[in-house]
Amino acid sequence: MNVVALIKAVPDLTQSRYSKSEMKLQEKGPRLMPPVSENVLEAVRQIKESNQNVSTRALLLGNQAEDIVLRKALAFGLDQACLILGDVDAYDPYLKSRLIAKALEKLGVPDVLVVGSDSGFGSGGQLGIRVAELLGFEDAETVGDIASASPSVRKVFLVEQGANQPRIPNIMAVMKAGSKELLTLKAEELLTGEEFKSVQIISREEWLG
Amino acid sequence: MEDDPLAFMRGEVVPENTAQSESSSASGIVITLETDEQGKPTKASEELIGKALELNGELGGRVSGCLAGAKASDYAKSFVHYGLDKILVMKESGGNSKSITEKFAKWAEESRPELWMFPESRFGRRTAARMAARLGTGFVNSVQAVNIDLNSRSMEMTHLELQGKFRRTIVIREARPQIMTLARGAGSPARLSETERSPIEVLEL
Repeated sequence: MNVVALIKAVPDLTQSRYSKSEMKLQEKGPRLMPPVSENVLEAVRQIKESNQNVSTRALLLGNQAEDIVLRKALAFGLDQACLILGDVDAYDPYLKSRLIAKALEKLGVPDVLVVGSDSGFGSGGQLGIRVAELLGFEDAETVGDIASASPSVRKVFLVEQGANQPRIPNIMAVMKAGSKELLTLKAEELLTGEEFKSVQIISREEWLG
Repeated sequence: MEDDPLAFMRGEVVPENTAQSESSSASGIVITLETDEQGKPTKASEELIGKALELNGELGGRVSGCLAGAKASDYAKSFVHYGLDKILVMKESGGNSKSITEKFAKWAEESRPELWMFPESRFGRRTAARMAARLGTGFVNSVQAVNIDLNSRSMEMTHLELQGKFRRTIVIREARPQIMTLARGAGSPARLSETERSPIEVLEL
């Protein structure tokens, strides 16, 4: 069984400041893995522990600096990690989901996709569900649903923030993850021309602090 | 399982991708209605109806409520006194967001609404995201306020991001329907009217 965890990286709001003159968030420090992505990785771990012959991969759409988040996923015990390299902040969920679906097609469509619900940082957890719909995945409500599913039915497992207690990797796992190779796919090579477009724009934003 | 799961993404299975459609050809508002386990309208559904009727005051189209699921025909009767133009019952036995999405999307391709509103619930968010993917359109979650640009008939949908630190307004340009979930408390609950009675239409899709 092939399982893919869709994770994300978010700005560190404790260090970042909003620039009123530039009207944008000035990020400081590397992006972080949000708690809901840790819950996703823990769910993948549980799937691996309760099934035989499970191969796991973390997938993240982001920039090169966000590979640190993917390495954390490897430290959680996932077998492989793939970065879809792109200007993620410029893409809307429509484009992001198509890029991820295309990447999964290229890597081999998994049997199970594990995604997070709303992280509080973006579009309300719609990305993973969009990908699931593009690939024809059915909903799984529990880890048990995945174990009992027919091998011919692909499932998406939506993990809520706080749904489990992530086991934080030890230092050895972190060090081992640091030396593992990451696979990189370029967004502009996955979709091209007319396919590479967003359907929605941000028309106004206001910093509430 | 299909050999090529991305076929419909390229428009090969669903021939008409509404992302490519012109916004001017779409009209009307559809809202997805939810009930509690006893079949009574949820507060979120009442707020959704209230907001849809308010928006329709500017848009001047029709507002249809829709329900899906095994008991949808029975539960539809709970919504006939809210001033909706029509209540649609989608015959559906799967009972999950994927199977319901297939029915909703099929109907959306035929009827071409300009706005489809869902309640802010687990079911609402899941189904809205699936609909947006299948129809190739945009989706804004937890919308707190809506303004309408009547020239383009685009909704300016405002919600919070970055853990509530950003208030963002998002516009879905050409793709239709525009899809949203309405944040709880963002609409005034619709009032019951004993004199009005919305027709119920059962769709065999």
